[in-house]
Order: sequence, then structure tokens, then C-alpha cells
Amino acid sequence: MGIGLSPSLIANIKEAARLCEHLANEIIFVHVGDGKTASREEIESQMQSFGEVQVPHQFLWLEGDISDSILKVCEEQKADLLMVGALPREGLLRYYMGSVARQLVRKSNCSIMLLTQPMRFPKAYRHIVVSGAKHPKTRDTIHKTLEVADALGTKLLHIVEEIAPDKKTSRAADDQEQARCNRWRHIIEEREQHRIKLALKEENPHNLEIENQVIFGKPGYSIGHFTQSSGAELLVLNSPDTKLGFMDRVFTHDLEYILSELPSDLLIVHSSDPKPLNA
Amino acid sequence: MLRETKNIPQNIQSGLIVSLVALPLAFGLALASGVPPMAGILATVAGALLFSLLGSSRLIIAGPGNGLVVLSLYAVGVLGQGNPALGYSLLLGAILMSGLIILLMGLFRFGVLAELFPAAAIRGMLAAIGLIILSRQLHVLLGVDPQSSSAFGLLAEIGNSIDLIRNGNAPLAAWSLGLVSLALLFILPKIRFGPFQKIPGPMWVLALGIGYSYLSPHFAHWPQLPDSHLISLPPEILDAFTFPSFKAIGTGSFWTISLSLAFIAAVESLLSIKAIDKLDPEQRRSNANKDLRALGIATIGSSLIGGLNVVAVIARSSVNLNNGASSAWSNLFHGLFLVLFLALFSSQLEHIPLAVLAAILVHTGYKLTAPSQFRAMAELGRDELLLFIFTYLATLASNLIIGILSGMLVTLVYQLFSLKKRSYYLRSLFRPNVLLFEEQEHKYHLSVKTMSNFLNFIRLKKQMDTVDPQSELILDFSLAEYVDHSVLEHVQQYRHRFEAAGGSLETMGLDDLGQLSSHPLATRRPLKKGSSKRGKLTRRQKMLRLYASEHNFRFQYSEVEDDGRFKGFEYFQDKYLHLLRNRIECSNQNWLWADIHYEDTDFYGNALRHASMVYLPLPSETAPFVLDQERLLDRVAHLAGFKDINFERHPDFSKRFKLKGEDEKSIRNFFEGPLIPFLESHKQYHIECNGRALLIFAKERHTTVSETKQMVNFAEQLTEVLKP
Repeated sequence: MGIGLSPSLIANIKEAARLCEHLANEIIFVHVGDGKTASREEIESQMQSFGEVQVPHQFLWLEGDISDSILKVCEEQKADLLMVGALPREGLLRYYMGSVARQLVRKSNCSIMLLTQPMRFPKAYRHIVVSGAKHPKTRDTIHKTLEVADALGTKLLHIVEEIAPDKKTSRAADDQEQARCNRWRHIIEEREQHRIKLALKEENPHNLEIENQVIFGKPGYSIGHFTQSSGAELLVLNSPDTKLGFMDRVFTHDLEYILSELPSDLLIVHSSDPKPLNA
Repeated sequence: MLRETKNIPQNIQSGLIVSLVALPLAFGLALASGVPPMAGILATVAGALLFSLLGSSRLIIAGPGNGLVVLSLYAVGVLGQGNPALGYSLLLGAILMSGLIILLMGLFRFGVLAELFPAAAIRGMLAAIGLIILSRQLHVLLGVDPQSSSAFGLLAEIGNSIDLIRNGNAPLAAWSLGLVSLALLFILPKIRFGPFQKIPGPMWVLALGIGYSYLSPHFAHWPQLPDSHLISLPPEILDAFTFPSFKAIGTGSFWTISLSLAFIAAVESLLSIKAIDKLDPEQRRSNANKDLRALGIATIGSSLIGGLNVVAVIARSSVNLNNGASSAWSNLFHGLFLVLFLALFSSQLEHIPLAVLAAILVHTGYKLTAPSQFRAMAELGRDELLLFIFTYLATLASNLIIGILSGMLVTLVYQLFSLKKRSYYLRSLFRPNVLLFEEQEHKYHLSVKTMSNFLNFIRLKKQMDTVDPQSELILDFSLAEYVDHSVLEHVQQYRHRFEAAGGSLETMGLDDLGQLSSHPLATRRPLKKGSSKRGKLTRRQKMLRLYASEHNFRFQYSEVEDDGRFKGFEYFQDKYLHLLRNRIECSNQNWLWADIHYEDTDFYGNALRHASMVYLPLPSETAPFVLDQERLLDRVAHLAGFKDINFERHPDFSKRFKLKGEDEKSIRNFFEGPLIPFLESHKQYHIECNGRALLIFAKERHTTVSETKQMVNFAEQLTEVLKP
């Protein structure tokens, strides 16, 4: 867990600790300072007033480049999950320069979780949205999501498949075109739902309602909007295939839409062994 | 679209009536464009033949449009450099090029173009076109050739022209014919008398003009019309053909003119197509791209023989619709009839005085720029009015393209400045902001985020287009912080389409946003602290509220959409119901009095109308009927064939009232008893029954407070009388 001095510090730590009660064995808090400010003392005093963290934990106080140091720790400690706090909405300058959270997403080799609106009281992940994109990593992502959902007592899981609209599914200038486009949409929808059903067959979710939603819209954007409008607390995505660079922000696509405007907490699953969904 | 072979005779009939309007307009528009009168006829014929064959819209009439008059006149002047004949053939070259551009626009699916401009800017531009046409044609009407070319200059010259008349420098016959025609054009539509309603006003004044110039040479003491004040037609129709010239293709002005012609023609056509689609009783949707392609080809065809741009025109299309057209055959036949007229009456048509054509154009121009346009914008809030006036003045001061583009820019800047976090909103305009998904079978959820305005409406439109209108669509604006008037106006049209098809479209999430006026389609924006959402009540509203509270009625002044109660009446079948304002209701009786805003189509397009009416549900079902004096009966078209039902025992009632309906027996049953004495002893109202309820009103306008009291009183007593 990367920490820094911010108003939401305690909330972030508490949130992380609570999640780790269910998910992890040990938590390492990493703070990267610049060696000048007395932020370490400040954090420690805040930690004391907050009380003891219930999970086995340790603190690491490092100095240097923030994202590089954190990523180094992750690698050395073979961390499964990196957590950081993030602002839900980025300003124009930060959008193009990149925040720490975004640098971490770009470079990280382990799964990463961005906490947006940490609260001092425990937040329940009642409703989770996960991407069901047709991709080798998806199977693993859904599997991990089910684990997380099970551990956190989630009630509803939405598996969202985004279909990029093309000529036959989006052109509807008159009644005939519209009817044709709807026919295509239904065919694709059934195909997608069948695919997800197959992928879920061997899983055994307890107490969990799983819903399938096919969305015809801009990939990457639609799932974020869906998460926001359905009021879900967590969005789970595959890790990006390529490292995102500056040009990806100039020509926004996929994950960048969500990173520039986080709809909820975001978990990016770094898949250890990608394999085709229907293998 | 000539595949539909249903009701061809009916469509031929409406084609005939449209051709009566199209004939004087074709001459007038061509003359106002500075080209020979036959250019208008050729454009009409090309439009009728090619558009009816290739277009997708069934009710549209294609022909020369008034939006291009200003531009064409300018082009003839610039390209011809003082030589009108050269200017004309060079203009034809530019028209051919514009046709090609329109065709390409259709191929590249530019059919959404009309949605890209803010509603206020488009209306501002149209109003400016109206003023330009009006200011120029007013001089022609007076028989004077004006000097100035700008609208302001032309208006300033009016005094000059009047002086010329006083000094006797203009022929008395010309200007008096013009003024009489203009007066007739304003008065005729108001007269509810059979022939005046069936045959459109322009045809009457045309007949007057031709009649006068035909007869005057036989009466020496009548003021004579010199030949220069009559239109001149070529002796043979074939002589009218002129071929385009491309000598100017290397000049910059050729290209700016071609592009402007294409742009204005496309926008005017798309707006007309949308407006007519809205009124189609069968709610068929036209394919805007296909129509653009058809118009492009028709324009090319027209220019090759010497005709003007072919545009989908609203005025003639609504005449078409009002006369029962249902397929593209009426468009085809209106062109054929025009050819027929020319072949049969060419010598009579030579007698059309220019002043009469000018009067028709002045009337058209006035309709576009009338004070009611300004009032309609003012109702939407002062921001929309200011943007409208800005575009209006910018168009008058520069040209149409600069006018509408600057109107668009100013609207955008204004919208951004009324918000905080401007850069964020500006960026959000260029990123996706809509999400559509099917919640359940045939139930869709469409969520809109951040800012929704004219610039990104296309995204919303694309999504709404894919939804089957027979299903249920929830349009959720709860994540949006700004929704502008243009979007809400489009959404309302979609709602009507969904409702007509048996589905539904519900908007939600707008309640938390504030608005500058209380109009239901006014722009929604984040609420400022302490600002009140509503404007002040008018005096009439205050009086009505007082009256309602004295009688324990409930008075509400908020605008609401009709919940289907009024829409169910035959009277509203060919009208577009906007909303109800100022309602008075009684808690223990079921009647409802309301001010209704609706759109009625007349010869020159759609007129916004207001009327106060009473809705009164019946205790038991009965046969539909209409009861009134003669004048309004014709407005209810489907009853035209039925006989007046008379009662032997009530000769006075039978004489004063006209009662019509299909099922005579049950209507008689309904009226026997206390109803006839009651109606005899009260003020006469127009009463219409749709089987379940009555629609009661006196005049097609708002009632005054005292009239309202009478009406409400009438409704109350009638409820008592009707009790079983």
C-alpha cells in the first residue's frame, strides 16, 4: 500500500486494512518521502491516534522517485496487490502529465487497486462491475473478481461486455436500418452471453447474483459510465496489454477514459497466466 | 419512393392543391433570386420528378426554397458583374457544384448536420432571411426598383419609395394591386369560409392579379399596368432551358457560393424533413442521408436545364400534408400539374403582375421574421432570446454562413461561461458521454453524463435512433449537469415518435437542475444558491389563481405535457400538441380547463397556437360527434361528409347549432332530454366528443379571465346536466 500525507490518509489506510482482513496475509505500507519534510512524524502521530491495524503489517520509509520506489518494493516483496488512493477526476494539466497513481497503473507488474472515495467507516462492496471482454485475460480476471466478491460479501456482480459499435450495429437512420441494427444486436448479445455462461460454468459463486450486460458503446468508456450510473462500488478490469504512453492520453481510448474519470474504486487485475476464455 | 401505390387519387388531389401554391412561389422566388421566372418552375419540376423517385421522405415537396433567395441574388450580382444573363449561367454552374456537394454530403452521411446547430441560431438565421426577403420585395411590391442591397439599407429606403409613389413615379395599378394582395394574404386564412380554406391564399391573389391585368386594357379609365410590371415568360417552354457555365470555376467566389448554397440548401432541407416527419400521421421516419442524396441529384438535374437549387420546403410540404397526401406521388403530381398549367395557360400566366408575386414573398418573409418568432424565443428564457437576436443581427450584418457559425460559437461560449469548471466541460463535449443498454427485454436505459448540448447531441441521437420506438426508453439525465434547449427540443420529438409507435420515452433527472424560464424545454443548468426557478406570474395568472381559490378549484401554472387527454380528440389529430399551461381543476368533478399550446400547419409552415379549452369526461360512453356553428365544422375533416342532425321538437336548437356525427341514432339519444334546453340557454361553444369525453372551447385563442369564468361555469353545469 502506497501512502502519502493527504486528508484521506487515515481513511485510505483503514480501508486497506479492512480489505486485507479478508484478502491478504500481510500488508506493507510504503511511504516515499523527499527527505526534507517531516511527513514521517506526522503520519506516525496520525497512525497512533487512529489505533492499531488489525492485520500483520510493516512500514517502509523510503526516499527517491515515488512510483519507482513503490514498484521496486512490489517486486522485491512479490506483492499480489498494490493499493493507492487516487483522485476521482483529474484536471487538464495532470491529465497530460500523469499522476502518481496513473504512473503506477502504467508500469506496475502486479494487480493494482485505486481507492477513490475512502470513508472512515467500512465501505461495503455490495455491487461490483467486471469487464467480460473477449480477451485471454478475462477468464482470470473474472475468477479473481469472484474470489474478491466472495470474500467481501458482495451481493451483485455485473459482468459487462462492451461491443464497439460498427456499421451493422449502429447505423439506424431510418426504420429499416434500425430494425436491421436491432437484429444484429440481439444476435451478438446472445452470442456474448453464451460465451460468458460457458466461462462461468465451473465457477461456484455462493450467495452471489450474477448479471450479464451487453453494452453497445465505446469500449472502455461505456463500462465506466455503467459503473457510475448503476452505483457500483468497485470496477474490475484486465490489465492493459501495452504500457500506456503519452499519446494514449492525447487520443483517449479504453482504460484512459476510466483513469481520467474514476467512476468508483478500480481494481486492475494483472493476470499471471492468460489463457483463452473458452479453452 | 413511388413504390407505395395506396391512395394515389388522394395524392393526385393534394398534388393539385400544392401546385396552386407552388406556381406563384416558383415565379416569385426565381424573380427574387434575380433569375428568369422559369428557373423556379424548372427547379420545381426537377424536384418533383427526381425527389419523388429517389427520396425517402413521402410527404416532402421539393422545389425552390426561400433560404437560398438571398444567396442566389448575391451570386448573380457577384459572378455576373453587372450582366444578369451571364450571372445566371455562372450561377447555374455553382448550383450544379452545390448539387454535387449535397450528393457527397448524403453519401458521407451528413444527415445529422441540422442537429449540430443550436435551435436559437437556426431560428435567428431563418428570421434574418425572412427580413432580407421582406425588405427587398416590399419595394418590388410598390413598383419601385431599390438601390441598396443590404437589409438595413433596403428598410431605410422605404420612405424613399413611398415618396416616389406620392410623386406618381410608380404605376398606381402596380402598388395598389400589391397592397391589396398583401392585405388579402393576411386576411384570407382568418376567414373560415369553404372556398377560402380549400384554395390557398396565393392562388386567390394570383387570380386577382391576372384578372386585373387581363381586364384593364379593355377599360380605358382603369389605371393601366405597364408591361415592365408583368412577368415575362419565353414564348416556348423549351426556350427557357439555359445551360450552366463553368467559366468562373477558377475564382474563389465560385467556390464560396457553391459551398454556401450547398450548406444552406442542406440545412433548410433537413429542417423541413424533420419538421414534416414530426407531423406525419403514420410517424414514418425519413432517411435524411438518402434524402440529401436525392436532393443533390435533383439539384444537378435542375441546374443542367436552368433551374435553381432543389430544396425540401416546409411551407408547400405542410400544404401537402394538410390536404391528405400520404405518399411521394403527390410530389410527383405537383410537378406534372405545373407543367400542365404552363402548357395550357402560358398566355394567361404572362399577365401576372410582379407586385402580386412580391406580395406573396413579403408575406412569406414576414412569417419568418414575425414578432411571434421573437415571442416564442422569449418564452424559452432571456438567454435563448439573446442568442436568437445575436444570430439575427449577425446574419443581417454579414452573411448567412458567418451569421449561423457566429451564433453557434457565441452559444457555446455563453453556455461554458454560465458554468464553473469550464475547461472540464469543454473537454467533456468532445468525449463520449452517453451510455445505452437494454435493462430488460424492450426496456432501455440511456444515461447522459456531464454536459449535453447541441454540439454533442449527435451522440445522443445516434443512440436514440437505434432503439425501437415500440419499446420503453428511459432517458436519464441524473449524471448530467447541463442540458440545453436544443437537446430538450429534439428529445421531445423523439418522445412523440415513441408514443405514436406505442412505446414510451421518459426523461428523468432534470428536476435537480435550474432553469431561467419556466418553459418545459428551457435550458437546464446547475442551480445557483437562492435563485428561484420560476418567473413571476402574469396578471391573468394571478386573477385565475384568485378565481380558483374563491371556488375551491386547484390552479396550477406549471407547464406539463398532455397526458393523452387532449390528444385523443379529432381536433388535434393533425396538430402537434406542445404542452398545457395554466390549468384549473376541481377535486370532486373531473373536468379540466387548460391553456393549450399546439402547432398548426398552415400554408407557410407551422404556426404556434394557443387556445383555452375544457376537457370534460362523460359518465358513460357515447358516439363521437361535433357540435358548433358552421365556421369551425370544416376544421374537423373526417366529418365533412355527414349531414347536420336536426331535432323536430327543438327547431330553435336545430337552426342555431350544427350537429354532425356518424352514428345518428345514439347521438340523438345522447341529446334528448335536458341537454338541448341547457345548450339553448347558454353561450355557444364548439363541443367535440370522442366517445369518452368532451372538448369544449369558444375560440382558437386564450380566453380572458371573464371568459374563463364563463367556460368553467358552463363545464360545471354541464357536468350536472350529464349526470345519469
